[in-house]
Amino acid sequence: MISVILALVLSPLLLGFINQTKAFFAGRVGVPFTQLYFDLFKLFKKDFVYSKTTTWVFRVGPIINISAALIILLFLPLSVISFKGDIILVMYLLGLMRFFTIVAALDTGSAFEGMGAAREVLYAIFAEIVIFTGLIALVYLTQSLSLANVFGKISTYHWIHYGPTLGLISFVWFVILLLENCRIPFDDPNTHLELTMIHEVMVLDHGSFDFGLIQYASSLKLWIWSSLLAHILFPISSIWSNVLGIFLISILVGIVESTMARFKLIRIPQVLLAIFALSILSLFLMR
Amino acid sequence: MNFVLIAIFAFLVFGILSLFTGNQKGIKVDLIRTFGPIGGSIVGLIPVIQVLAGKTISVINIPWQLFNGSLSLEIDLLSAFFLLPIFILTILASFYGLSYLKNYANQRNLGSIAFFFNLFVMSMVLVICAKNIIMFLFAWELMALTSFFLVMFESEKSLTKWTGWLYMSLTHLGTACLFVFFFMAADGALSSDFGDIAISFDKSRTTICFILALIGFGTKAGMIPFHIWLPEAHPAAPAHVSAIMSGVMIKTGIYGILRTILLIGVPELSIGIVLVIFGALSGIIGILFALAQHDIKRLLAYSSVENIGIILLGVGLGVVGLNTQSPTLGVLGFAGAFLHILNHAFFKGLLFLGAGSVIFATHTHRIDELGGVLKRMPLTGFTFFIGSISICGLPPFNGFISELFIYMGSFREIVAGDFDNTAIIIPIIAILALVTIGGLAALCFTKAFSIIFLGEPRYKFNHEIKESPALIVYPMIVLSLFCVIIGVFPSLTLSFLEAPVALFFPIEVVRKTFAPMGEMFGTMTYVYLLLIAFITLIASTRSMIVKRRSYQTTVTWDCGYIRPQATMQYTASSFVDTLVDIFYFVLRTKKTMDQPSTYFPLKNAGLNTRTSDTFAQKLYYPLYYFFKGHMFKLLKIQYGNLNLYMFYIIITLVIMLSINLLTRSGM
Repeated sequence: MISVILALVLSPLLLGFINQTKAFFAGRVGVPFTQLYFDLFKLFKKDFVYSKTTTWVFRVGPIINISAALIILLFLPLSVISFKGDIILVMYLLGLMRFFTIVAALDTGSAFEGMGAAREVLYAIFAEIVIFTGLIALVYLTQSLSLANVFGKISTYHWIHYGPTLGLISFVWFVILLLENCRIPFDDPNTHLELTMIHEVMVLDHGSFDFGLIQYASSLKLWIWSSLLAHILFPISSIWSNVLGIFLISILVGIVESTMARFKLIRIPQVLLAIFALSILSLFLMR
Repeated sequence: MNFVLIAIFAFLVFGILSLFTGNQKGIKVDLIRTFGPIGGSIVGLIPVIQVLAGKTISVINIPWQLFNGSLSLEIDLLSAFFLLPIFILTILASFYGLSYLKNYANQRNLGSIAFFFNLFVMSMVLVICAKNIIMFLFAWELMALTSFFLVMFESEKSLTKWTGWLYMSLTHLGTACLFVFFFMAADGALSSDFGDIAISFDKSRTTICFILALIGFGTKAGMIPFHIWLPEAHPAAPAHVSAIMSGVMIKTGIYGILRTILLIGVPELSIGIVLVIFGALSGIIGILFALAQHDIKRLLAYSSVENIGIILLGVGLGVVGLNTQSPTLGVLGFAGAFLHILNHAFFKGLLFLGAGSVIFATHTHRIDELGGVLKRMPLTGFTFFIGSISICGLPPFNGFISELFIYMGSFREIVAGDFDNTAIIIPIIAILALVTIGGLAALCFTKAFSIIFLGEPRYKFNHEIKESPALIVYPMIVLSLFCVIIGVFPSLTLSFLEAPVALFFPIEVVRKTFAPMGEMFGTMTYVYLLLIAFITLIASTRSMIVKRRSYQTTVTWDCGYIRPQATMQYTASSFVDTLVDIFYFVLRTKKTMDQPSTYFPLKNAGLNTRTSDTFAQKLYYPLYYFFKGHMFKLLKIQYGNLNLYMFYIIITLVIMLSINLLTRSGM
């Protein structure tokens, strides 16, 4: 239960860490760590403006998003619920979140948002294949089928015996983390006005409370992915080491964002296929 | 009382009666036309439920020389399982058709449509119940013929005519394989009854027989590469017939494959692997073609190819599990296949009825001419939305549950397995195929739903678009309820699936494998209820806040457009364009572009994409033209002289008789 509360309270801080790291590299002062908390507070106070084109789909999208994210939090290692096979449920709940984000974006009838939605759903296809290949390896290594055990049970023993596999999987999952959370080099969360963006352009028309929910849900999503990766990279079964790992990963994300340029959009499917090849390789290295 | 016979007679009698109603209109005529399918199906459901509860019912069993055995109809568990969706969907589709066909009342002979509809349903029931080869093939042919006439609904269109003949010829190519298969299987048996064949079947022929059966039944099911009739035929029929064809008729192919396993024994491992691979290919290629379509019904038809792929994948894992002594994989594979048969009947039925409802209101089936329909047709839109999420296999709806069975079977096999053993590749293929299908389906159905129902209307219709009448809407609501109930309370499916899966595995094994699934499903229901609680909590918080703040509506902001236009929206083509480009090597989409040419273009620019079936273009048509070219040589013996033809017949009979006599005398 503590881990859920920590996630709910601390997840907006992750973005602060990423931005501070980027500011450090750029030699700027940077926005405060707590910027997202202010943003959320401000958004929840705002009035509502909706497009005439939109329907209930647009209004329901953010609500489903945040609810599904909250449910997924409960399944994380050292958290509340766990049953055999919940890995599939969790991955498909992420799919449900994506489905609603996409239909909500298309509900505005805007070309920009259609563009973002088309890209999001396209890259998700590749991402999901890579994720499940990684899961196959982890399920086999830990001999378990629940999210809590698949990630929570990874220990130094596994790193000693299956080092190459776990190393590859960690790398692949870090790339997927960047993709799923719309970070550079796949997406640039800062400049939603450019035609090349994915996630930010999908939520262009959301505002006030709804946008607050979306922002919060994506910070929770970042927390979820970082937490899973932290369990692989820092195989100690304790909440605090995990939280420490999460923040270290967010600094890593900041470093990547500072030192890399965004990929050309045409390159992204190719990068994802290369990542898929790596994850298949991790299966070969299993024995 | 023999309820199935009553049902069959109801279909037959009311079918013939409605033939006489012709062009007439009115309540009485409607009653005659729909009483058969509705009443017959309700009566037919009684024995189906009895059998599913544990009884075996022999409908009729009369020794009859004509059938080289007996006229034998029986509802065993397998039949009952397949009859259930047939009857449910028939009832709903009949109500729907009553209203849907009103649009055509002045142009068509609705009496004959009702006649063929009745006979079509009857033939499906006969196919599923027949326990004799000749009886089965007779019913199989009747099903092909009656559905042919329903496909030819709009027969004055040249495209429909061509479609009809394509369907007719391909379904007969499949049936030809079935003839060879059945007579090979029956060779040496006492009679043509299934029971006798099962006893005396020559096990050395299992593989070749199964391959023939797979081609024959696979053609009906729409397995790639035998699917090319399906995306042509299903859209041509009226919506409620498409729903039945896609929802249940193609499942008779799956029934045939499962029946073959029960009849001639479990095929070897390699056949199981072939099933898995063809299932995966049908799934992925089917959904790829689906998302490149612009015609809503063609899109849904291709998506049926995809879902048949998922079912075949499950059956394949089942066969592999039977061979490798890994009951988990086998039981959960079969369970997933069985549940997906039912689920697909519900959500694909729902989506076809939804598509029909849109066509009924707008008179167009081109996705790119629609848009913003949700506001005008809220109920159709809502149910179509539920169908779309279900077919993508997303929780908490029913499609997720059947895929979950296959996932769990595969993952548990991997946990128990060993990476030194090559057999582990099979569950890995299954998992990766399902994931790919899931991702592509999400693209396909976000496109289908969003472009039709969301945004602004892309085309100005002369008539007002309004919600379809109650008889069209209610069947869709019922089907979406099925999707939700199975999805949220998956534990219900376990006791229901136990018996059909136990046809292939011992009941104790099935129960043992299902026990952890039961726990999992129980927890899942609580998780879903929690999800719903969260949603309501946040939604009510939001509505509380909405009350306290100002609330305005304006145009879509979109980075500052003042007058956004409907033509600026993303279209069905642009939404899938990148993916279609990536998979050009499969889809071979043709693009024609009208680019603006001068600095002050006066003409509208445009982009047109068209994806025709690569298998038809590259495989079937070349083959067809090859044969067509050579067939002309046969004209030499076809003079049109009747006497000569008689002579041919006599010669053939003499040759056959002499072969028969020679082989009998042992030469």
